[in-house]
Amino acid sequence: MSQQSQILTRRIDKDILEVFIGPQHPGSGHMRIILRVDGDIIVEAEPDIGFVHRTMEKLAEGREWVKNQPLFERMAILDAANCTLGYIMAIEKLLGIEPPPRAKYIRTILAELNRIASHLYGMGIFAILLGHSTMYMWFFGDREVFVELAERLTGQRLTHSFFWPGGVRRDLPSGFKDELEKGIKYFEKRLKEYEVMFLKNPVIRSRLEGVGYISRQKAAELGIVGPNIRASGIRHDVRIEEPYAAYPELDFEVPIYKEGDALARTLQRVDELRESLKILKQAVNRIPEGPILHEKYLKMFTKVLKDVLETEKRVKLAPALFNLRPPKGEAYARVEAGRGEYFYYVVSDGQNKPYRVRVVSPSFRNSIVFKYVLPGHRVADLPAIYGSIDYFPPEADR
Amino acid sequence: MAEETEGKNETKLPLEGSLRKSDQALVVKTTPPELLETANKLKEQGYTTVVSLSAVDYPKDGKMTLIVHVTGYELPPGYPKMVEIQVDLPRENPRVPSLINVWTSVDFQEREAYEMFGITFEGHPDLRHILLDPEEFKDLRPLRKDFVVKEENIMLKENWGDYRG
Repeated sequence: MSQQSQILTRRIDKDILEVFIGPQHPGSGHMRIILRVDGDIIVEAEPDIGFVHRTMEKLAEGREWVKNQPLFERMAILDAANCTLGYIMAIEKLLGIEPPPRAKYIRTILAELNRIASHLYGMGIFAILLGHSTMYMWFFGDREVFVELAERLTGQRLTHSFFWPGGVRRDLPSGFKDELEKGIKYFEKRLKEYEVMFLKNPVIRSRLEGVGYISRQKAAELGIVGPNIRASGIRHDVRIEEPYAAYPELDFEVPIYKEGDALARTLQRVDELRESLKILKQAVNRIPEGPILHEKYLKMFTKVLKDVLETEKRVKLAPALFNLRPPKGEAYARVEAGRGEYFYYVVSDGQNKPYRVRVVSPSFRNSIVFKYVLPGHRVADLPAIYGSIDYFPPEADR
Repeated sequence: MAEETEGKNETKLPLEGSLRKSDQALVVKTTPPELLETANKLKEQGYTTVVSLSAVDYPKDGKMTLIVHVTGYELPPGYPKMVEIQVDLPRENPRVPSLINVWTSVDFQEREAYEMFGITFEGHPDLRHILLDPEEFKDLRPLRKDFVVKEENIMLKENWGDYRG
């Protein structure tokens, strides 16, 4: 044996034990939490993230503007529409264009399908962390309904790459409305069964109630986002604050909870599922007729491209869209994804590639919770807190 | 970069800045010594949270710009939703005071800007690498423009057979 294979040891304070949790999949991806525990009470917690870091901001500088969409999708493939919509919107702000109304509605439909799928994924992981394997199966099984619906719409289950600056790539397929309504009807029935099985289950309740409390003031101070901040009593939702897509025309509420514990965060997500169903129902009924791409680009289409658009109702990839050169300038855009707010800041120097793209994902902003909220809790409460935050490592690491 | 697209600050926020036309963000330019003062003023006005803290590298102009985006949850009507603080820094040894005592939410973002751009945040209690390997990226600053990503042609690599021994 060489000298290197020897494990190095060091002394730490008496009575304090250092516990490494991860990086081999403690939850839904690779991350590590370094805990310092006194008995079974957490004294200090240090989230060690970056195990799935890809430096997307650097990679984005080497690709054409629209070709970054498949890259940014890889942050959270289960929420692919929401996490790339912000980027597309930022480009649209630089170009000074708005998508036509029908495209806005299609964007909203896909965004909400993704939100439901993302919540169900997060809660499935949460259920298995709590040892409730039945709900894990149920959440993942029911998620399939919305993944399939997204596939009908876009052609892909997860990585849709569905948006163009100025529109979307496909029109609604025939019969989509009926299928969507069938799916919604099924899911409404299931939501009632979730209550009996999971939300009102005394074992689950006792593991979640009062655990991982984040006060209203602390939530604002830490800058956490999404359902987590709304469960602490702050009505922060980008869909309301800076409305985009078809949200200003639709009628929905943003539920909030005041308790701020793990249970409130769970109930918050279930309430949001209900609101998403409401949005989907309205959007599919109110969708206006019209083009799905901005007229500026439709004008550039050749006869072949126009024929494909009319007969197959899809936008064939036009070179004009690949060689976009947004004018010099900067723009930011933000979007409310399943886990919270996605923030994009793009800088253009007039070339066909971005000069700089800054992206802040909701999980990155939520990861601060582990450092500031875990101390003072028992180690046994860690899965409940970790799961209720709905932390997704590939999204945080970017 | 794009001075011609900027307009006057017509919002109710009493702070010197210019409203950007593309996205209606209020751009406030400041200097490292005045950064903390600007931050405190914004916090008093209700800007409670930092959304993003990062930088943009301009090697041609010999500068780097620190860019902080701040927002608040209960802003009075007429206030801009997003305020963008810009601080020009030298590319050699850029230093700014840390904002962590004003906004706790910058904690991890300052660490990220430190490892990606080499900006030192004076007063940050725990300034070390967060996403990258601290040993491999000790002196490398990946998001600076002079860091070039080496591209490997996997399929047609020369002497490809040699690697297999």
